[in-house]
Amino acid sequence: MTVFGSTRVRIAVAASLLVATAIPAIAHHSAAPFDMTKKITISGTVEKWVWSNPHSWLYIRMIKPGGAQEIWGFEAGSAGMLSRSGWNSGDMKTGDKVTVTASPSRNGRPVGLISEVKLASGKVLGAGFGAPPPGAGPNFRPGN
Amino acid sequence: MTKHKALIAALMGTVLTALPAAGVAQSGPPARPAGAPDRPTEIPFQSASPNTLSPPSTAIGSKWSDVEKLPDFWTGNWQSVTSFLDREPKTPLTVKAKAYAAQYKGIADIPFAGAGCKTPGMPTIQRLGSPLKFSYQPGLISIYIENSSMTRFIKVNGRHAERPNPSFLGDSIGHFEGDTFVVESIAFDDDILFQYANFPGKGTGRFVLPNESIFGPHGPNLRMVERMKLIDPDTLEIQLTIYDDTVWTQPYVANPQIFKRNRGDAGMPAEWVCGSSADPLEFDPTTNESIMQDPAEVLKKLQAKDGK
Repeated sequence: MTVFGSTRVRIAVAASLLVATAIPAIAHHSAAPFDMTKKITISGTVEKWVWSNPHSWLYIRMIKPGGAQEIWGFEAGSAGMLSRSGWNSGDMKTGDKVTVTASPSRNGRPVGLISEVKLASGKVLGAGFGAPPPGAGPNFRPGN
Repeated sequence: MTKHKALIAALMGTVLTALPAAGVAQSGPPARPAGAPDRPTEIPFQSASPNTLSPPSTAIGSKWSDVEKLPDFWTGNWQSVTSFLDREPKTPLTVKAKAYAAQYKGIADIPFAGAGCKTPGMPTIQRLGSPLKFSYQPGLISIYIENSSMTRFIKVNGRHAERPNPSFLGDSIGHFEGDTFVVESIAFDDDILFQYANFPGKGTGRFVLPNESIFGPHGPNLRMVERMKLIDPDTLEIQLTIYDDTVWTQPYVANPQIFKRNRGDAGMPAEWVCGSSADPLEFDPTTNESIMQDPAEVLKKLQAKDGK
């Protein structure tokens, strides 16, 4: 399914896959605000990357077809859990081009819960809500 | 007495002769401005502190060398892989607790999700997603809880304080029964998040969400007993039993909590400080709503803070 008629924004309904794998159990504001059965992919320019607790946040500027701009906010895991998952506070800076895959908010706001971020270098930052510990098994879902 | 007076006089004389400049410069406290309140010039001594930490004990956990005989709780850290709320609690409620539960309205989230990440206290804080880090010294095992940057201090082979003050983690003592570390905690703050039960038919999944559970006040004699053991070299199990006869008619046996070990850099604990203002989504316990601000507005505020 295509939204905004652009390859920049794609919503892929992947309910069967997601239900079978991982649904983040977010201690801070439960998973309810996000539609975990869907994923969107949005490309844009980094406005702000905030490495923080309880969550880190990535703000990007996305240009819609026709030229209108929109600010999107994407939630990622806590600083500690991201660090453990191979992320770094210096991975992104203002002006960087990124492509974010996330679960969208249910209320239509331009907000999402990050699954992964692809950097301009081609590097992919995965496990946006924290990687499982060794041996966690396929049903693991991070708790914060 | 006379000898003491002579000794004091001699000491005073020594001080005065050794520090003549100080003697002149510090001729007394500065005069108070007119109308200033009278303040005490002496600090009263506190009574001697009791020592419940390490009374004489030869039980394991009392010496440095004991650490080599104990299970390896210490290497790396422990990340929960189980739900932070209990699935299908079945312990019968008291009449009073039943009445409370019958009128209870669900909450959208826990206070930890609100401003400042207010800790839910034990046992929930220990079950959230960021890891636990165990450390040992004779007579004291510490558990650093990355969520909240809080640390439990468990007196090994020690005693509870005679008059413990309430706290979110409780006053904890522990001892070893074979390879199992048994911890008893008392004296909990009224504001800990305390799960009574789940709504009928809810909270049956692998992971239980706050809106599926019933939370309520605990009694004054609440006591938690944890049995911690390694079920394999990289898996920690904590079996919790809660004693509160104002809530349940019998001891509440919680779902076993399972933690997996992170090693290397992933096994290092991290700090946890809330308050970046970067989160457009925040739970408000007073209205029981998760509020989502426009991310463009949040970004403006963040950039204004940066001086852009």
